[in-house]
Amino acid sequence: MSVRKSATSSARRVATLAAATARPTTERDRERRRIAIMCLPFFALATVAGFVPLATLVRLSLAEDAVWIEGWSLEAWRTLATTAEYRWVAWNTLWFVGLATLVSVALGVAVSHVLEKYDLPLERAVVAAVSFPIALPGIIVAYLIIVLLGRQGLVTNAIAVATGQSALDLASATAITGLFLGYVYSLLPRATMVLRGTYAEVNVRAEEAARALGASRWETFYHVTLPEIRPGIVAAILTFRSGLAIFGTVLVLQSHRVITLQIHDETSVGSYDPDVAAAIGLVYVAFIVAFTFVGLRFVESDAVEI
Amino acid sequence: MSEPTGTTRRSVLTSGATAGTLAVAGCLSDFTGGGSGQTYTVGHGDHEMDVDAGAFPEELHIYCVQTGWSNWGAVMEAFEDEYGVSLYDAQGSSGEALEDMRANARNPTHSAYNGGYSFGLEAMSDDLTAEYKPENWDVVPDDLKTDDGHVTATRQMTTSVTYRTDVYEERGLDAPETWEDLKHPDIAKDLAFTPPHTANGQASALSVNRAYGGDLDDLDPVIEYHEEIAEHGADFRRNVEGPMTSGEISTVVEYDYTGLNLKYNNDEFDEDQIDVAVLPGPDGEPGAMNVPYGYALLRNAPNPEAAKLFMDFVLTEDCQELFFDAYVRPIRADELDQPDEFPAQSAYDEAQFTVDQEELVSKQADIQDELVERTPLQGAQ
Repeated sequence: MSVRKSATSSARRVATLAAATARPTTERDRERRRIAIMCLPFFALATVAGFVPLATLVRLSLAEDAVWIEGWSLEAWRTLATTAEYRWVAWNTLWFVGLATLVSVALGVAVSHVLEKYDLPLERAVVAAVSFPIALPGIIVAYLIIVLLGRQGLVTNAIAVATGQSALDLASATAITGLFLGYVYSLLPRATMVLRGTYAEVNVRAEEAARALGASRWETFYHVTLPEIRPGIVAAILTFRSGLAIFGTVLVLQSHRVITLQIHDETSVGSYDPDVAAAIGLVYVAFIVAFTFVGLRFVESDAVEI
Repeated sequence: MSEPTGTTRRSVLTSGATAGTLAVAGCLSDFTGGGSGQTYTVGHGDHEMDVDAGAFPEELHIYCVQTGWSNWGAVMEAFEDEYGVSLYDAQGSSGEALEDMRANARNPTHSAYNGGYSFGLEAMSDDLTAEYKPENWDVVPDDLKTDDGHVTATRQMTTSVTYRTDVYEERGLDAPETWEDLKHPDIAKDLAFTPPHTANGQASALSVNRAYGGDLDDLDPVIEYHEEIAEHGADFRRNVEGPMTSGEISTVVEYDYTGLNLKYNNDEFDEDQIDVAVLPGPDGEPGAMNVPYGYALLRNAPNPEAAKLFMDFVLTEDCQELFFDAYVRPIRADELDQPDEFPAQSAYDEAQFTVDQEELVSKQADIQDELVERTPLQGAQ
């Protein structure tokens, strides 16, 4: 009885709130209406492109017959929980993308530092060149890697000529190193763009004071600049999420089994398990959401310790 | 490209027949206004029924009925001439078709599947297909159709051996007559199979296996064969046309279709530089596996009437003849005059065999894994 009462009263409260938002009388109501109107397009889009597909994925992962989406079964989730291979793919993905992210952020710090601290010739061209890979589809990145490091690759054959080794042994395009370079190539511009914004806000006076007091360049960077750009580094680490989503590159090069490739395999003809693919996708979404929340807390708090 | 006499005679006949049909259809359409209202009887046995042309769509969608493959272009044209229904040019592979069927199971976009037989069986096990026995269903061999009429073969490709006659002549080799002949060091040194995880490579391996007394559960014979030829330098190749042209390989185990295409449709070679042989085993066991291609009506097909009419059409003698033009053997090949470009019909009769397709589909993954794991030939992966 009481449950029903409380449910009725909360429903009534929501209805009152909605009515007040639709026909505001106070300033607070008007503000609420502005917020609602501004958020509406996002929620419309999120419903069509986010919530509905996610609900379909949930249904698909619980379907007994995954082709016709009929019946109910926990089989897909059981498979996901009990098969060692999936844990191995998850670990593969995390260390590989994690390492690629760290390398990209380290390189990003170096690039941003150079762009900010030195007067470069053709600085705009350099910035354009650094940010350009953001616009490249993963498949194109894969072909670039093959053109450079494949068996007929430019770099491969240059090294082969220089050292007298055979190009076949040197080719690394379809080895894990080639794939890693492709990942770094895609993540580096994202990390750099975030870090450039942070570098623009660095307190130059503190750096100058440190140098005047006799600190070396490296000491100045370590003790003065680095603490100031820390939030930027944390924000750049969020490019980890973009790394997880890379698909085209790994689809072509195929040298390391990461989550996107696994989802693709689960939905292809030979081993057709769309219900397992849906379950993997849901775990993936849950992980991304959790990772984002944790990451944002670090970005927002001032006392970040990495 | 040459114009072989068989083709010419046949195309004259077909075009004559088509012209006659067109004339009749023309007269009829004058009376009926575009041919609607006309009925055709389709189906075999219990599936016999009348379909009304009024129900036909402008354009019929059937997976993998596409220009540039198995002479479907000519079949599409002939069907449109006969019944006024054009076909959508459905470019794609059997695997892509299966993916698409599964993705659109509840709202099918195509009325029938057509392509590799084993993919048709997979579609059947996913409940994507419907029961329909087209006219002439009874003449299709039992191994190459399901009893319930879900999947029916319409044409076949046969494992054969394609070789460079000019190279053989240089080396003083005779034309191969059995699989045993390929063990000759001068043949095996540049002999290529296709990898076992392809439909064609699997058929090659199973052909050799059968020729030496093996079956689907015993792959030792083919592995032993591979061991013998690997010593001399035989290996797996994915693409054979390039290496064949450059002289890197002089013998390849492939479908008859591929070899005949190389012989007659390739500008790099004169016809007499290449030959295609269908081989038995050393003691006369069959050594040429027939790999069927076929079709299946889809459950909830958007245009079942027109699809049934098309399926019937594909099994007619006229349409079966059209497959010959693309060097594909129709399923009714033994009822028809096989063109001279093919290896002799008697060679097929002696060496060809089929395996139970449903059994093959269930064992396929294990067979491929075992072959990849055990074969000594390079390039299996």
